[in-house]
Parts: sequence; C-alpha cells; structure tokens
Amino acid sequence: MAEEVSSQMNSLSISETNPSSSATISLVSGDDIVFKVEPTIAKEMETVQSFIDETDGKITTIPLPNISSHDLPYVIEYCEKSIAGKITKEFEAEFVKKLNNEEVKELFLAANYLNIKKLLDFLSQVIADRIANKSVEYVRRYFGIENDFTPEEEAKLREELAWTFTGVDPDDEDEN
Amino acid sequence: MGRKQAKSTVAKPDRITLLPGHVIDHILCYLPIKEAVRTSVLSSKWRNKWYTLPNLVFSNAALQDRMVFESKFIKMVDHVLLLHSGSINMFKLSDSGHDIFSVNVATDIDRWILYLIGKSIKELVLEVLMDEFYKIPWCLFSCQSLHRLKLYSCWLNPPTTFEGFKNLRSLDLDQISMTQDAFENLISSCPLLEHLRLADVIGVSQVNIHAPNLKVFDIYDQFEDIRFVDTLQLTTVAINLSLYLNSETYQNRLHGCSSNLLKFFDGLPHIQSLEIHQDFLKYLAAGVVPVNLPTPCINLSYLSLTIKLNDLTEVSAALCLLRSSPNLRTLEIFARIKEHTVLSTPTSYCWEDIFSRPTTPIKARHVTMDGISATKLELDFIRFLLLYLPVLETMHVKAGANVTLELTKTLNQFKRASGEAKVIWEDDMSSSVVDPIYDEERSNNEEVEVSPIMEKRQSKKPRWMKDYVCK
Repeated sequence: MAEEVSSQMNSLSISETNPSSSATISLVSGDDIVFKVEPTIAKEMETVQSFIDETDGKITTIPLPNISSHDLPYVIEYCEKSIAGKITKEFEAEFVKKLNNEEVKELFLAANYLNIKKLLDFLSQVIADRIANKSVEYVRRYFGIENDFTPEEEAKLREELAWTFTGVDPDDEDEN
Repeated sequence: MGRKQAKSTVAKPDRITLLPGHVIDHILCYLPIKEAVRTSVLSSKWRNKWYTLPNLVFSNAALQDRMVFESKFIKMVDHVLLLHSGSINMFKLSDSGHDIFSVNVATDIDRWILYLIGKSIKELVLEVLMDEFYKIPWCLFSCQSLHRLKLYSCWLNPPTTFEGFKNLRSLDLDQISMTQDAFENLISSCPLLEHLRLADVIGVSQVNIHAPNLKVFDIYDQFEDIRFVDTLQLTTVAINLSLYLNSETYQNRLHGCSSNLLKFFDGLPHIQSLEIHQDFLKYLAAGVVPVNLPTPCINLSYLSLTIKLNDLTEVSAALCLLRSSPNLRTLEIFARIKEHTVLSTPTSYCWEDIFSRPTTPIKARHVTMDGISATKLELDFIRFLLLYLPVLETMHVKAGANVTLELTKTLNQFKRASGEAKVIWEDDMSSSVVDPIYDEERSNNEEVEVSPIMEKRQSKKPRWMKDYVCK
C-alpha cells in the first residue's frame, strides 16, 4: 500500500504529459506550472480540499498563486509521505537538509496558506531551531524584518528585556 | 556572503510579519520563553506578538549562582505573566533536573498558581525540586479548568471541601507525598481521567484505582496491593513494582480472593497492552496460580514481561497469562536472575505438567527474549513457545555470547508449531538468523499491526533494566 503511494509520487513529475484522468487534481503554481496530484494529496491540503468540496468536486484545477513551482513539489512530497504514514525523524531531517532559509520560510507560508497542520508544525520547529539563540539582528535578517524602532526606543527595550539577552550566540555570517 | 544574504532577504517583502498572531505563535511555541520574549525587540509589529503565546514553559537551566539565578528566574516569570494578555493554555515550571531552587520560591509559585487559576489554565506542570516537598496550595484544588496536571516532588493535601477535578484527563504524579485516603479520593473524583501515571507516591501502599474513563495507566512504585474498580475503559497498563516482599503479612492481604492473578485481571476485562516489570510478576504469582484465567484476555495483543526464569512460580504465572491470551501478537520477555534469593524451583519437574498445552492456540507472531542464560527452565520456556505458537514469525533471542552456540544447538532440536518461525540470535557482537528453511518461500503475510506507541515500547527496555545498567 505504502509502496504504491510513493510510486505514484515518482510519476508525478511526468504526469503532465499523461492524459488527465478525471480523478486527479491539478494544482497550478504562481508561475503557471500544473502539478497533477491524487485526490488523497488534496485532502492533506485543507484549503484545496474545501475549495473542491465547495464546488462539489466539479472544479479540479486549483490555482495557488502564492506558491511557486519551486516550492510546491516539496509540499507535495511531504503530503505523500504523510499519507503513507512515513513521516519519520530521519525523513524530516533529510527533508530539511535540502532547504535553505529562504525555502523554509516560503514553505512555512505555503503550509499556512494550504492549511497543512503537520507541515506547519514541523516547519515552525525548523524555523525556531534556526533562530534560537541568535541575535536580534540575525533574526531581523532571517525574516526580512524592517526595524522601525528609533535607536533610543530600542535601547530602552533592550534594557527592559535584559534578562532575555543572556546566552545569545555570536552571529554566524554563513547563514545558509 | 553575509551582505549578499542580507540584500537578498531584504529585497523580498517580509510576509512572515504580516501573518496573523496565531500563526506566529506556532513558531514562538517552539522557542524557549526567553527567546520568544526577545522577539519584542525585532520591530514595533513584533513588540506584542508573544503576548498571546498559549503555552508558557519556564525550564531554563542557566547554570548560575543559585541565589542570583533564583531571583532572576522569579523576575522573569513575573515579567512574562504581567505582560501576557491572552488566555494561558499551559504553564510549565521545570528546573530541568538542576537543583536550583530554594524553598523560598514556594511563595512565588503559590502566587503564580493563583494567577493562572484566574486565567482558566488547562495544563499545569510543576517539576521543581526544592529542599522539601512543595505544598500544593489549596486554591489549586478548586481549579476546574485543568485538563492535565503533572507534579513532581510535591505534597498533596486536598482540603475537605475538595470536590475533584471534573475536567481532568491526564494526571502524572512523581515523588509525591499524600495519604491513602487523599489518593483514593483524588483518583475517584476525576470522572474524565484517561491517563494516569504514578511514580514513587509516598504514603500510598494500597493502589486502588477507581476511574471509569481511564485508558492508560502506568506505575513505577513500591506498593503492597493494587486493585482496579470500575476501570472498564482501561486498555494500556504498565506496572513496575520496585519491591515486593512476599511475606506472610502480604499474603494475608489476599483476603477473600485466593489469587492475585485472578483479582488483577478481574478488573481489566478490556486490556490490550500490558507491561509487567520488576517484582510485579512475583506479586501476581502470590497465592494460587491457575492454569488458565476464567475469562481470557481476548483483547490483549501486546505483553511485555520481566520474569525470573529460574523461579517456577513466576514461570507458572506467566504461562497462565499466555494460555489466557489467545489474540496476543507481540510478546516481550526480559529474563532476570536474582542470585541472592532463595528460589522455589524444584530440581526436577514434569515438563508436561508445568508447560501444559493451551486450550486455544496463542497467535503471537513476534517474540523477543532478552537476557537468556540457558538455564533449564529458560530452555523449557522457549520450547513451550516454539511448540504452542503456531503462527510465530520471529523469535529474537538476546543472550550472552558465551551461551549462544550451545543454545543454538539445543533450540534447533525443539519442535516448532510454525513453519514460518525464524529464530534470530542477538548477542553483543552480532546477530545471526538460524533456520532459513522457509525463509525463501515465505508467503506475503499480512502486516502485523503495531501501533507507533508499541513500536516505541518494543525498543525500550523497562526502567529497572536501565537502572540496573547504570549501576
């Protein structure tokens, strides 16, 4: 059973050339690439599934303007593993090893947009691990946050929260 | 490199900051509280983001001077609770195993608990070791919002007005001092209780469990007697009896029931997963040991036993349990030999009498035998399993390297009811498979259903073994 699912997944990249079966769902990335997936995958993505449900399954092509064709295959891969019950620590470690900071953030946003709770939890943990013990400056760069405090305001806040500034790692410039 | 990164990041819009608070909470939840609070300094939009963090976990084990740390720690908790503006789901206070608090912190913890009750806290975890047990303040006993309570090193003395925790699902008590009456009253007045874990509850010698919704029960303790009343939902039980003195006074406690085994299983009609470790089998073997239980444990699929395989009464109790578990799937045996005890093993016995055939076949597919040292009783026990487990697929035998070869020869002579049965030897150095006869033509049998929790269990040695290794 599990083997079947993963073999379907392998055929995913070439499925664009296959004649479309009525059962498959087409996910269209922000840059207009079509990804055909099994309905079980769509079920993992609550946002997609509720869209299908609302149209009584008549519409099977779903545009996902916020997700690029670069990120969508990662999301699909995770969902495939999740259905097969094969989300293991080892898989997650391998999965995250492939991703740079930018990709982790994009996938986090995608998981939130698609409402995939497991993936969202997992990526939250990954992001938390990556910003833990990092300096304020590092975390701003990581998220792309614009600092809108005046130097005086920031200094005052840092003083109030002095207890949170113990044990911060020195910045590691090689972030990715 | 750093500049490049900074440029490319800034070029993209900061979509994370624009996310709603509960999404940011997802990330902040995985950060230590100190780190989460520090995100206040990122920007004005981040200033208040942590204020709604639902779970507050204080477990910093900063290795500083005790007095300095303590005052800082108190200030930290106060600071967080003062600024926090949402509802609080969980509050956890832990010294992470470091003995960093003096008894003075007790008044602060009292204060925090009072505050948390006002916030309708659902989960409270206190794992703080002070110079003496922390006395749980009476106000907590009226907190009806609690779903989960985990306490370590506390003194529990509910007021007479205590009416139970009506919403409590999970209770974990470790190193707790409380009276027998208070214990029984507490357990029986939590009607929704599903998970109960007890470890070293001082003052409780009769573990009487009255809990109609209890599903999972785990105990690591020293007790004289255990009894389950109205526990029809109970399916998963793990019992580590750290010491059982099989003295006459204890024997007298058998009262009307002449067998601990009968009494124990009478209260567990729906048991699915059972772990019996340390001295608990000795407790069960006290009194009369029947050949079969009057009502078989038809739902029992996982059984893990620590057994003195040179003690005939324990072996008999284990056999009774096996014969009464027709739907067993997975069996785990941890053999242990105590050299200093006087054993009740006669020098000779009739194999057929002790190891009599079960009335219904035992459907166990996987057996693990750990700590085998090739005594006669051990071999007889293995012989029983090979003969009466007709669908056995694998038997892992972990033995000392010095006994393996001899054991292999002996075991190969035993008749096997299952043609599929594969005996896999494991010693410290290597593992090897004996009996490849049917190996190649093994049919594609259905997968054994092993839930994740059981898989985890199988790889885990019982706690007493870990203790033993430590010594």
